[in-house]
Amino acid sequence: MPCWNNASHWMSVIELEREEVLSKIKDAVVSFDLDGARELCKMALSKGIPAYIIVTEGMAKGMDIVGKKYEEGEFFLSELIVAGETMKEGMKVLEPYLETEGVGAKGTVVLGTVLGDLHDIGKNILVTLLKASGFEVIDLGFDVPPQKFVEEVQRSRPNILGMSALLTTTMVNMEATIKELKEKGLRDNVKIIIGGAPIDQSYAEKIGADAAAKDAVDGVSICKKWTQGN
Amino acid sequence: MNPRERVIAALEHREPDRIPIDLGGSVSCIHSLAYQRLTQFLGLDSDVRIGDKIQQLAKLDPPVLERLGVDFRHVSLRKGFFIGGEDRFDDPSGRPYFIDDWGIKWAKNPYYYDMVDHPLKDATTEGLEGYPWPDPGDTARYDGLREDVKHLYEDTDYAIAADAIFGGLFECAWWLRGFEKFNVDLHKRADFAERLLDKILELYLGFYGRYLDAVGNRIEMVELGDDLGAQTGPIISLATFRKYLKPRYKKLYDFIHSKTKAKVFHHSCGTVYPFIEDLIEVGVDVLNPIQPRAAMMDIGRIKREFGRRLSLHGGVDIQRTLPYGTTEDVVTEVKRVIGLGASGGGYILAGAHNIQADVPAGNIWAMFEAAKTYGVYPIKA
Repeated sequence: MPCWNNASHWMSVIELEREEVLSKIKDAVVSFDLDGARELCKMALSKGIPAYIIVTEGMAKGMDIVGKKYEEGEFFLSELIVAGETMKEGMKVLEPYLETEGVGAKGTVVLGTVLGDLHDIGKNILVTLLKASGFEVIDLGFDVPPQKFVEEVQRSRPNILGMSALLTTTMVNMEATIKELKEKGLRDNVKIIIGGAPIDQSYAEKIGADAAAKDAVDGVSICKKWTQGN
Repeated sequence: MNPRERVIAALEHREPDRIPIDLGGSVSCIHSLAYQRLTQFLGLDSDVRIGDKIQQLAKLDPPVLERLGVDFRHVSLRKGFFIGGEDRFDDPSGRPYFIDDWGIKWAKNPYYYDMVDHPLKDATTEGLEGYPWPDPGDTARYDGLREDVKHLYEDTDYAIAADAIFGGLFECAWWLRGFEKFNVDLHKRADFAERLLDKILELYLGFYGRYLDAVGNRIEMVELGDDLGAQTGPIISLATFRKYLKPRYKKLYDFIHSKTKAKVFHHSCGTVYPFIEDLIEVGVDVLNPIQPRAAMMDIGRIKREFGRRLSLHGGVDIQRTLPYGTTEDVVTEVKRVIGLGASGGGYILAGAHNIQADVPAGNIWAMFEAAKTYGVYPIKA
């Protein structure tokens, strides 16, 4: 009769259960199972899995697959949105626990759509993808004036500031914000990423931003590269 | 050739004397601020009136259209859905707003109105029928339309285009429901999505039936649209499109074709390349705007692959060239699209969406002048 090392046997059963739940959460995100995501996150918490791990080992893995399918042309904006909504269902359950855990180890990102612009679909997807990747995200919403971006950079000292705009008439406020950051001596403390339909690399260079994101999936990849050491 | 003959030739895939030019409607028009500067530039300034409240597009004065060489005159529903109601000022955000006839709330920003609330955000499938939908039988929407079109047809030689009544089926659905919610509906609540789209289709058939009865066969183009694409790719997959939208487009476009000999014009921003074959199949005759900076939307390629079966409308870049280019850049851009789109007719030149508030008057003038100068057939590819 084999002699079990009881402690390690049970540890491995618990690990298997945890892995199973996290894997199911990953699958729920990829299959847009909103109810499933919510219930599985509750179950994962009840099994003692830290909320931060549920995000990065469960939901993030799901969003990684979704991001890959998007890049490969199997998923489109519609699927990104629904995956994001699925993740949000899980986050509703997890967010209170994340605050107490004090996570955001990857880095802090301040995001917003610029003054005069109410378009935020892409920006909202980026918020979801960044949270999934373990970033702390301060989402200022839309129609954000330059001073509000500057105040938040001053207050929360983020690694990254992200600005989004859909319109040629509003993207000028990105330049205005960067100018104000320079005037307040804050520009060098933060990496700046910009995104939106009229944005491209040459515009980023023109206004002194650090990068232009092609879309939200590209944006999170850039943010991850910038905070690689963290 | 007169403007109407020119447009008819192009739409029938014959080369006219020159490429027809369009300015007007809800997707090929001009923001009131840019229009104001343009009229001053032309020495034709007068009070700028708003024709489309949501996009703040100008009502176009005939002397300006003549000076620019525009071949179309546009008509639209009376009490149209883009005209909107009176602003109210009691919103906590401080923004002026109005609620349109579909129940969607639009709030003002410096340049336009944005939709800020979706009336069907909490709707159920059972609740859809009881929602206060706008009434296609409301004759106020069509009053005087027949006479106006008759006058334009008999007393002028411009080609007449009937403007879109509102957004497309997909757009109307998500404007009512919310973009995130409706996309979840498409993937998770198919029954609800189908019912909502069917309801909208039913109403559109009602509106277009009466609209086309009024404008009859005096028009050359009926404009509709539905954004299927974004800057870097399609919004939905071909599978989603074929499940929900294609069969409904077919019903709507078949109906329109049964009511008028005018060409069906479909507008979609962004990357719409993957859907083009299907759009032709369901009866689209003219595709707009061939947004040049969107992925996969090279006008040369689209012309080569579809140009004999599909007319192209639009083409001139408004995201970079028109607002930020020099007048020389604008001329180069116009020559570029003309070179790629002109062969065999089937191309109407316009901005690849409404000319925005930040476009200098000199650039607008350069665009229309170049269109007239370099659009004369025969055109070297």
